Amino acid sequence: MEFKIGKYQAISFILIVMINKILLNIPKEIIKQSQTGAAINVIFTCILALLLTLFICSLVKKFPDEDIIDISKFVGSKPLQVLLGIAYILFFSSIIITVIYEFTNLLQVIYFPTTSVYLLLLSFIIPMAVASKIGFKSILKTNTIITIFILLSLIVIFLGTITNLRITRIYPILGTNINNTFIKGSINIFGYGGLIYLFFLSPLLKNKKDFKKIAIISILISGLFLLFTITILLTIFPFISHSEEILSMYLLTRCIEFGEFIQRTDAIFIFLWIISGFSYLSISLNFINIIFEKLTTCNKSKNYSYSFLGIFFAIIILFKNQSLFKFLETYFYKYFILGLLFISLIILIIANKKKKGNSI
Amino acid sequence: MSIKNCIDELLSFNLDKKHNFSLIEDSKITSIPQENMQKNISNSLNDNITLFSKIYSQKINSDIVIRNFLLNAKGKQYNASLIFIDGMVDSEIINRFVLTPLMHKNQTNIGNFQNSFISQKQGLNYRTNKKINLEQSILESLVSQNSITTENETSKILDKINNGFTALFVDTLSVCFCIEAKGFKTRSISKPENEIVVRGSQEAFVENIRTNTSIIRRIINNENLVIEQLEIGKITKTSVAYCYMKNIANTSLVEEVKYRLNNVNIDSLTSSGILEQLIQDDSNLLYPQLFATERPDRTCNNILQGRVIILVNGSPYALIAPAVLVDFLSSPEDTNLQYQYGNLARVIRCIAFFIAMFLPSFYIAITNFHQELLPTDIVFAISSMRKSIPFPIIFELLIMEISFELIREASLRVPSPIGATIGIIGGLILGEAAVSANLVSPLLIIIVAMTGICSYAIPDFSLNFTIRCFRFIYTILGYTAGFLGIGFGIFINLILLSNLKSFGVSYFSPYVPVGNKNTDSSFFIKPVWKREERSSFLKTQRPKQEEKISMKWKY
Repeated sequence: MEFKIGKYQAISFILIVMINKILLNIPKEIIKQSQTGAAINVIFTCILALLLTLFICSLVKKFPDEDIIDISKFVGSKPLQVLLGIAYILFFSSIIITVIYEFTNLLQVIYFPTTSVYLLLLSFIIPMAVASKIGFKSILKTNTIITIFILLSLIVIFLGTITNLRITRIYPILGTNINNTFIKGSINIFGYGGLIYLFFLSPLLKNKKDFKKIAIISILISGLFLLFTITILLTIFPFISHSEEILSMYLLTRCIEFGEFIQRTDAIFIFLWIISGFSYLSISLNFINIIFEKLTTCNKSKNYSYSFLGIFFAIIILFKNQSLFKFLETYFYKYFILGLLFISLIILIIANKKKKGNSI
Repeated sequence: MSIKNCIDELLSFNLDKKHNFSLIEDSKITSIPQENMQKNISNSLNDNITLFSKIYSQKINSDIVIRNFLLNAKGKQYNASLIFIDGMVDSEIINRFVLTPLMHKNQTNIGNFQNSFISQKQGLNYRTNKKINLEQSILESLVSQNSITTENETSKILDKINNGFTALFVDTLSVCFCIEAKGFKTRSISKPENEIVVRGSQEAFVENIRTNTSIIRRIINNENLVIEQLEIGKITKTSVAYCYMKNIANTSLVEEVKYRLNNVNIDSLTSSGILEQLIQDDSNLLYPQLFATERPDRTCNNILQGRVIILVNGSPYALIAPAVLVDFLSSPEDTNLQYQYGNLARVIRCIAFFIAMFLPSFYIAITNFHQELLPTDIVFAISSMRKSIPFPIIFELLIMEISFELIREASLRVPSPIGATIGIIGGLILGEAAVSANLVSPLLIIIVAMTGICSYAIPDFSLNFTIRCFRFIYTILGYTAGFLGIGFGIFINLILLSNLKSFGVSYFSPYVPVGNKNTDSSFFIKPVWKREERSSFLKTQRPKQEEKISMKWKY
């Protein structure tokens, strides 16, 4: 990587992934799984995520200048690299498709019922194309600025909804049963999507020693925000797991009232979320570029990003079936992320052993 | 020919001889090309004078003066000529210190026995006259001027004459004496016009580069201040100086400034604004990338921070490199005041920045797409105000914005005593009349007026222009897609700005990437005693600017 980033940029990069997951219905999925035990489940999964983070940190330590794609080449030469690279490209592509779909769907339902979906899609595709042309470094810099405002907006939502909390709604706090809260609930670690990005973080860092600190801080902040969101959602909307279509965070913003002048603040929050969505989408697209560059002989994969964007645009237009996107958003994303996490960890373990063997 | 035609011919005005001028390709070369020009001057005065007369088109050029006279040196007389540009030299200096000593016969230029010495040859003593070295004699004993050089290259002599020197040609000598007798009129140091402060220096730069460098040197008063000078412009050969502290400024930054200045290849440079556009990193972006100031105190503060400043002869502004976004929102007053007042002023300016850029676009987005933000009563009030207006809201807004820009432009062009009146009358009468005529709603007048006031709160003129341009873009985006459109614009704007660098420094420094914020370059200024370090993004040679305990009297 020709440029390096500092720790604040790295933390905000992991956080934007988590924030977007929070905005795009991950809390609802967790509540659906663990019911009233979701808050406890989040604490439990946060501890699991932290342990996993520490494990990743210890494994990545020996490969400070390589990401998971480079490491896979070291382990299983080019075929493994290609396979893993394609898997990651599919993962990032599914993220881009679902995020664009979610946002356009939300915007069309709320503000633009008569506007063509093509225009709404283009309003996401164009900023991604511009960002991709300008470069990853600028995206990460922009992301640092955006993340601060988004985190502040979430804090405002938490503070604004405090008056509506009914603490009794959180009971039974341990959920319906231990199995759902802890054993089956451990699957909810998929909510910490930032974990996947940790495999790509180390080569981007200016100071490699900061990797552990960055990883732990970002996972802790993510966990904290996820916990707040889920607790507030549980205590305000006991029915949230049954609601469809509308984003759960959007429902929260509708409960906020700031005096008499501003009647409903949801538009302001959506405005901020759109910007955070642009940032998240651009980061994901750039990871596709990076992986594509590594798998092929292309030097300037930036130029291919327009083709990728064209494909995403076509997929969203062609597959209008909502259930397909629901499937992508819930099951595919959930199990794919867990699968990728598992495979990447195995590759890292083997790489560590191989390196140890080589050094002996 | 009929009688009527005859009468017409005699009495009417002849229109056939209408003056019809159009430009044709110019094949005649009126000036001597540099490469064809004689490289060195000759020892014949006539040849030299003919050459320079031709170069300067002396017969048609009214201010080129060639003064022929007889020069007395060591008892001999030589034909000599002075060439200078009238208005650029001081006649008094030429008369008293050049022509008088050269023309008058006196002890210095009359040959006497003081110049002879006794030599011995074959046991006999001879009194022999020392061989006269005319060039040396003129330099050492005839011209009583402190700055005099000899040149024999034609191009160098031309440069000197163009810069206000007086060229002295003497028959039999193949050198020219360039005597500094500059004496053109310049504006004296006056108060700043555009960066007014209450507590602070009331001096501003002037057009003369040497005066400006002397002001800087007087303020900084340190031997480490370096003022390097070069010439830009093949025709104008404008003097450009770049100043820095050699023990503070980053050497690579100085080298970069030097590199960019040395590689500006243009015919003419007449202002610092043109130079700014030629050396900035990205000329397509609307944001200013070099900071221009007319205040010497601010310039010196920046030099002492480790930045490089550029002065252009003929321009009363100093360019500061590198510049970051925060610089354009700060005023020289901020650091003169208590830090709390300074911070309050900066916060207000920041709010003004956002209002000036986004208020019309948010208004249009809310009224068109996000009415739910406002209470129902206000929505009804707005709609009742707009009931009688026949235009769509975008048209209404653009009418008012363009009118406001017109008033602003008009008040700048009209003579200053009535400039303010035009602004007030234009604003009041136009606004009132537009509301009465049901062209715009009263709320829109408030929006446009508020935007205008806020744009005046921005201290930097260039950033003000940036805001004005972006305001129109965001208004159109807000009208097209509400908050989605504005978000779209903001994201692209942020991405472009994140990519922007000014002389190797990120435009969002010291915030992205995160750097030291206890400096003068951070948005929130700390107390003076806490500003211990220079901006980390400047990577200076002396990162610390004050001791840990600066107020030793207290601790």
